Amino acid sequence: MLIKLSLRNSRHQLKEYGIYIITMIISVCLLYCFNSFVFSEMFQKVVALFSISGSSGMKIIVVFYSTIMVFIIGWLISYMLNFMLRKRSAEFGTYLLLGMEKRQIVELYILENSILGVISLFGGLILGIGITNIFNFFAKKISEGIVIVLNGFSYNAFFLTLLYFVVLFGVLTISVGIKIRKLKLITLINYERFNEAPGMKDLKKGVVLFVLSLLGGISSIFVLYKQPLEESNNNLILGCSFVIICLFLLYYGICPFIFLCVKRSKSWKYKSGNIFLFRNFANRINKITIQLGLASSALVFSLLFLSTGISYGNNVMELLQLNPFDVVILHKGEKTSLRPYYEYLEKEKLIDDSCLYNLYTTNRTAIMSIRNEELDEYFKREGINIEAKEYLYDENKWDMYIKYSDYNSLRDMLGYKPVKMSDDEFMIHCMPYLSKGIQEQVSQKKVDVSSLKFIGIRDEEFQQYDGYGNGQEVLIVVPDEYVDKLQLAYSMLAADLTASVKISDLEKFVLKFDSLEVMETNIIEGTEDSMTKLSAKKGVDYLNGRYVLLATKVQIVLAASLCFLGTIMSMIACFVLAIHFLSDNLIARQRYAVLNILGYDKKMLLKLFEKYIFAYYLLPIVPALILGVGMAYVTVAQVTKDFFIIPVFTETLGITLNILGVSVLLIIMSFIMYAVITYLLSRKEVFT
Amino acid sequence: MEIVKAVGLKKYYITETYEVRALDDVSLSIADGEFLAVVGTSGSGKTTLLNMLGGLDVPTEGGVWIRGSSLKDMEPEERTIFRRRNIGFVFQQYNLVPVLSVYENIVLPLRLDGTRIDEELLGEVAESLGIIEKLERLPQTLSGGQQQRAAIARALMAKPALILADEPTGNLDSATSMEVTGLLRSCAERFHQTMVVVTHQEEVAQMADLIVRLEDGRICERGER
Repeated sequence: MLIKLSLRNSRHQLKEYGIYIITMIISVCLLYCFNSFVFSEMFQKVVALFSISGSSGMKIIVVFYSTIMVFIIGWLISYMLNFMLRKRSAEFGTYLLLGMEKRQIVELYILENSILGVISLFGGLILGIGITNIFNFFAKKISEGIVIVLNGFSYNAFFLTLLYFVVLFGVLTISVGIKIRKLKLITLINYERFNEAPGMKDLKKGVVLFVLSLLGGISSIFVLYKQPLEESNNNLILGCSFVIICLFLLYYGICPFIFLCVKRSKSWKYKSGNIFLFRNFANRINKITIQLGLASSALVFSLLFLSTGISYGNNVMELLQLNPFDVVILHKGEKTSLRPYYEYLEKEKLIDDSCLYNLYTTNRTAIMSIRNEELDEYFKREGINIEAKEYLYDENKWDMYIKYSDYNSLRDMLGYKPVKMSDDEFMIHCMPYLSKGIQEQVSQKKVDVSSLKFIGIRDEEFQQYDGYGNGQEVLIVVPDEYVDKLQLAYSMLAADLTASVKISDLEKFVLKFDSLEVMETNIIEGTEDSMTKLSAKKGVDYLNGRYVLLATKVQIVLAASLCFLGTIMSMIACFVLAIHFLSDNLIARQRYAVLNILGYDKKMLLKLFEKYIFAYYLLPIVPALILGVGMAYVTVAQVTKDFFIIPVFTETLGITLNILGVSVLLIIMSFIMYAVITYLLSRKEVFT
Repeated sequence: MEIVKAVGLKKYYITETYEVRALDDVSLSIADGEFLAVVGTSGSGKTTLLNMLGGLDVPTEGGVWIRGSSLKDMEPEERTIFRRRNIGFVFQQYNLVPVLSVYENIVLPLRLDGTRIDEELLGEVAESLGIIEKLERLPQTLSGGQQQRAAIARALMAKPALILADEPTGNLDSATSMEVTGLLRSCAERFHQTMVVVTHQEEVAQMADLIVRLEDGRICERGER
């Protein structure tokens, strides 16, 4: 009989308390997604990246947020179980009254909740697996099949989620069971009748906390902007700590602050139900200070992670633009034929277009000295403590030249208009930041480049970033015969691949040739005159280009990781707020009913309700945005600055503001969506 | 024959700042088959008295005997079983199990006790209460009056020594209140039940054999109809 009763009660609860079951399913889903992310190969690379640089910041953040996630989910489960107990207390009292023993009631309760727990667990896991696969699908699509963000199905994530949930749910269910056992029959029957305690805290203490929270907020911005500590990671951790302190103290302090304002007001509080609105509101937030602090800080970190992730993504996109050729193979220092590679790619129908060419050099540094001067000025302006020649590979320290015919072939591949140049002329192709300086000095003949006439500069993307492409940021284009006087610097093959080429095709390509290796610009060696050069092996050709960038650049992984983490943080915040609001529906219904009896019509009540929900959602998001934008601005600017040592972007403020704007918009949009859904669901329950 | 005896019942709620005497030395005796109404204003101690009589709460002082057994001397589990077999309850909120049909709600105490269900008696009770055609329905599909009748049927089925009804008509309109009270009365007579009804409605109290009026936790008036 008890089993039959349990099954029926479980089915009944699924209908009655659907929102709570959905909450548990989504909680499990979030937990799985988070664990899947932590166990992903991608994220392990990120942690390794941070560890290599001596920072344990990422691990700390992950442990912190794992703890938060477990805490939040534990709290959600506990809240739901206690809420259901409250709702069903009279029913349990009836069972006791009719002669069921307490032991039997506890068994019944545990059995029912186990059924609900199993449904929530497996529903959540299936949803989580689905979401990670959808996320991967889009990530692969955006990155042309290269980036796999999460494991489609992660055993580690699955079992860890299972373990967390079973332990949390089990422990909490048993604790509520023990609570039931201790409750007296009379208490059970009257459980829901008890009045809510208003619980207003000490006013003076609240105002002090409020002021302290403001100081915390200001301190966080100061730390992040001024970076008083040496290690930038330490500044970030300190800044984040101040943010969390600020937000938690804010919600402890704001309630008495509101209460004080209402108390002191002489007439305003009696207008349009303001007294009900603000006292109700203050009382509510007084009870959920921790949850508000959590939600608000989750929003801050969501904004931070999202904007930093977008920033990395933006930088990677820019990097890809700077490397317009899909594949570049180079051989340095001696004449060699790269034709076998071309023939293989041609045979396998992997290329759309290609060009075999050489780069040349002399012992002159006319143009490179301008480059060094411009860069030194930039570093000085930006307070970057390095010299231009430290960011110059030894092989590229001399001026680099290309034949006019090869130059135009490459331009043609990239879809640029061909350049007209006669046999007595030369031009320069460089990165945009050098255009003005070189134009000035060369056209005013302040430097003597060659005997040829200078006709101008082009600065479109031309594989000139990071040294091993078409010159280190600058290349001199000369008539074809001119190069007879010059030494060979590199033999090159630049190719554009067909749309169907995958990373695996390139992997096969590399394996096919013993002499071909993927270029790793991190693997360098020093020279006698304290410069660096590529640690190139004899007889080896190096594969570079945008496909190699996509496959090897860990910033792509970082971008995806941070965006994913930001999304989860945002979802957690919205969820916690929604659930708290919806759980109050019954009390709200009673209160509005009382107001109705006292003379407020439905229209006025609805208006009060709308003001209340607006204030409820405004409260966590406004401080979060203020602090989050401050933090994110500093972080995004730093990321952009650190990503490209040389000035790639002509103007960074606009880019930073754009990224911030997009991040803020995304967060606000999802926040508003949750708020609207909460409003609609709540309104339906409160006003019917 | 005396079915219920309460002697010197006191129930005090004491905190640091105040003392509430919900019941202050109440004694009464109820004979077999009697219909007693307990009346009084809000906060007079009516429900507290009912809770004492039903063993739902333990008095600060004094005791309650039902069919000679002292509720105070029983262990909680013992009291649960005693209550199951000897006391039926009817509440203002009906307290029906929402997932069980009316029939299942009515027989639930018997099933818990492992007692055989007397289908003939059930039919008779359901017929008397006018819910014979509602037995397969769920409580939420019934009106308030019908639900209360189902609750009364549940209380009657175990053939308890005593039925305690706490404001059984509190959620009903006046016409239904009179109807339900009438049914309680007629069932009490038909099935020889001793009934104690707590009410603040005078017209309900007037249908009882005995009326006890409480004020500030004390009996201030006793009368027969």
